[in-house]
Amino acid sequence: MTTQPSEPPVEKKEIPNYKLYLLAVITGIISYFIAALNPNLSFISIILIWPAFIAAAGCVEFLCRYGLGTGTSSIGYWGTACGATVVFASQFIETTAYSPFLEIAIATLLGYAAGFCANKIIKMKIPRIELNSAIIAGSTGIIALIILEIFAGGAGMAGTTVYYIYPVMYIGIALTILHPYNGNLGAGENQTRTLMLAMCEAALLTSLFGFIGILLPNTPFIPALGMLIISIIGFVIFVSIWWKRVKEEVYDVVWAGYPEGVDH
Amino acid sequence: MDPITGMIGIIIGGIIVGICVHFIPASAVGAMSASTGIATGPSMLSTGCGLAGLYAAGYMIGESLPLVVLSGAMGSALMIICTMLLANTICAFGTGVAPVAGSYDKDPITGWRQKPFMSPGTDGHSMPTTTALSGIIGALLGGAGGSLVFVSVYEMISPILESTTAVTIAGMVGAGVFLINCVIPAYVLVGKSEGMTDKKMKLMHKTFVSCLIVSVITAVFVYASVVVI
Repeated sequence: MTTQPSEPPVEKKEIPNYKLYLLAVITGIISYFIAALNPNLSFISIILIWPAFIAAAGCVEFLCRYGLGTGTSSIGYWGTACGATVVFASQFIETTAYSPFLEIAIATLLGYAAGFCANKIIKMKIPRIELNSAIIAGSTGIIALIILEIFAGGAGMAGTTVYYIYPVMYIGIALTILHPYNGNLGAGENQTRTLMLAMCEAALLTSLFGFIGILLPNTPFIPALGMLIISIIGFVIFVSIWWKRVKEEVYDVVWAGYPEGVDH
Repeated sequence: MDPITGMIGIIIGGIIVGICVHFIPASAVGAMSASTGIATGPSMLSTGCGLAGLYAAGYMIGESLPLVVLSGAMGSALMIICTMLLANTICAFGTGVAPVAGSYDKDPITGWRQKPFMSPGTDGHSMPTTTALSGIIGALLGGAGGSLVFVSVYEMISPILESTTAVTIAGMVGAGVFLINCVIPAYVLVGKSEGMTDKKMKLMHKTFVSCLIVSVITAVFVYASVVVI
């Protein structure tokens, strides 16, 4: 009896990061206007900013394949610096008429300029670093902007009073986008699994912000509570999916230990 | 300080921050005492110094510009001096290796020989005198550059925001500009630098141009946010 050779596993095509970013921008803009027009529906806004985490984490994963001159942590902090700094600086703008388009556009431009310098002036020769750093900066800008919009209760960046949580936001966003790559298997890692871990961490981070929003005296309670509940639900769902993805490529663990009856 | 001067201050501060990273001795393999420098990336170490400098500058806010910048520089330098002292102590008494550099045969300041004390297969370990001095110069520059950005943003926004809010936001924007500019040189240094004696110092012009471009965009946006829009 002959056995049929098993077919080689089909390599899944990766999702291009620019498509993820386009999705993140569209959902981000919708999310912003939902939070601005009806703060009580902010739980929907939170769901709609998760794609921005995926787009940014996908770019970190892409760039780190080429062995950056800097570490994963640096690229994450750098991208967050571009995006979040633009959003924090936009607090000085007296009108919110240009939000969120201005912040997203400037953050993306700053990220692109930084990537352009890395590739053309410093000659890092990393493929598409300009595009990917622009995506990281734009995505982190979207995340920071919408979380602050929710905390401002729809009053816009000019009305936000929670400037004292900026450092927490900064560190949280940076960690969430840089960790999924290192948290899986590093170079050559399955993109879908990395992005699913990014979803888990995104939900965890937004639940933290929901919790912070509940505790702070000058943030609206209902939107923060909605943010917390929807994020916890999302976290449970994403962790279960991610765990299945982890087990897909795990080898069997077999007992190879002591015989029965022996103390060990 | 008028907004135009503030904008120029952000640009100059950003460039100084980028240049400071070249002076900071750091290397990830320093964790195994396999290379000269503190055991982390130059960018991360510079960030640590810069943020310490911003704290120090924050205490002096409201004083004259030179005092605030000097305070930031001193805070930053103090941070790196403590770090280098402890790193050298651990290497000398914990790992059992002498502070030696791989990039020169004799220390330019003390004249002490380096090669006989270098462990085989390594590029040096911890921080000898010249490398340590380079780190202090880098930290002084970084702290001064970061503080300059901080003060510039503060002076621009203080007329429109109350003092405590303005300090907090200026601090965050200053930290953001610091992070953007201090990671760019990491692409030139490729994760490892021995400070001012390293050959990569010759590539500083690339850092200068890159930080100039990025700082101009950031400064123009901050200026536009405060004044134009």
